[in-house]
Amino acid sequence: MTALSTFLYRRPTLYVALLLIPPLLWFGTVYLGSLFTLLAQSIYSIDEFTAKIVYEPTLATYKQVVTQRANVDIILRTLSMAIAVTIACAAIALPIANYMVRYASARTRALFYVGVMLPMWMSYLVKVYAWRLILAKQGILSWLLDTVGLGAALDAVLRLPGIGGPSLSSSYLGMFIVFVYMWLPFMILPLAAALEKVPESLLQASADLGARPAQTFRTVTLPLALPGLAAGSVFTFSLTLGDYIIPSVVGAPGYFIGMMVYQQQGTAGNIPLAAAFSVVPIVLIMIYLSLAKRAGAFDAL
Amino acid sequence: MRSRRWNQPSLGARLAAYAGLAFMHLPVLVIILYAFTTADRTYEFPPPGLTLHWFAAAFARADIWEAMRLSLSVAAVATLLAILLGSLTAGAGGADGGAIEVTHADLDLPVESRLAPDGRCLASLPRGLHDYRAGPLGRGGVL
Repeated sequence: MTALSTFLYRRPTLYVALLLIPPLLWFGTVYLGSLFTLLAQSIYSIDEFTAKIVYEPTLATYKQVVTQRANVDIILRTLSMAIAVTIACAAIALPIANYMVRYASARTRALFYVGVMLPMWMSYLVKVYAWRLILAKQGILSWLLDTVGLGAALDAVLRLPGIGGPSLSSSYLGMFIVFVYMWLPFMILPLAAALEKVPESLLQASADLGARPAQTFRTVTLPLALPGLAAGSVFTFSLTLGDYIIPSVVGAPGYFIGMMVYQQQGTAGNIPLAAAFSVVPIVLIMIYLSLAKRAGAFDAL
Repeated sequence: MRSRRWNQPSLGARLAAYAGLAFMHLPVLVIILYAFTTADRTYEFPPPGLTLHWFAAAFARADIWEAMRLSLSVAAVATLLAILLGSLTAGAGGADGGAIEVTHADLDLPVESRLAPDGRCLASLPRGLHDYRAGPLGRGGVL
């Protein structure tokens, strides 16, 4: 045993290779393998009459995704939801992350970290159904708003075209709230990690030079925290693009990309279309990452 | 008296942070509350009454226990596998051959000795020189 450890200690490359082979095999076969198997299906098409997959390389399935009106609507609907959710998550997460890193005492900071992570340890499905209870027609939120006399305001919001609906739990507004709730920890944690790295001396210098707190936040803290914001927004953006459970439990009947993938590979049995649809979020994420890179979001890494 | 920090959060910053934290825990409380409600067809709030009936109803079902058993075993296997693969990856990242560093701080020229896991001294070199010898993924490496 000692002979073996000494042998390996003198050959660091062999040692590292031995350590990395099992995880790389797992990652390569289980993760990448299944992903590429699915993606490879997207260059096939389905025979309209027999509903059997035609194993001939073609771009027909992709053409169907980007030209058919209903499919384009699904992509645009998912994309606008992802953008709105990302912006809202950033707006809510910034004050929380900034407070817990910058101002809170050691005890309060620990409380905040546990408080942010605690909802992540709960069942995803349980939280979605909890929101159904909150947003339902006679649910908690409408009761609360009625009690404080804002019931009419809720009705007015629900009458708005596009985001409204018969109740919050069957409107895009309700779906948006649930998405924001679900992905908030994924925004707060990278943001807090980035804010921890902002040196306090820079903030002191900014204050000494006469900047108001809001000014310091906008011109010093925010640019330095941009990598964290970028990392968090990749989470919220991609998670919204791929999710199929939230849109099927809460919200209006319109389809989302994740639901389409789920339905096409399941009940509809159209694996090529499902595969072509799952390429869409990948492409959108790549565009998003290159835009973020061009905006300098990763310069401070 | 506790000394004042050079910057104090504004009331708005404090409120926004705590409101956000409250938002993240609202559904958790809701689920707990609704486990005790007497309403069984509607999502009525506030609950018309409180009862323990649903716990008895849930535990009386055989399929719940079967599902819990399956969930626990899948979770156990997944955790074991993740620990194994994760530890291997992390070990490769900080691969040092498990060596312990001993610094002779009381010497004028700081010398570090590297000990193999079996306690034999592998090398005593001036501090810093070890890093030139460690492999591409060792200390001072890039991974």
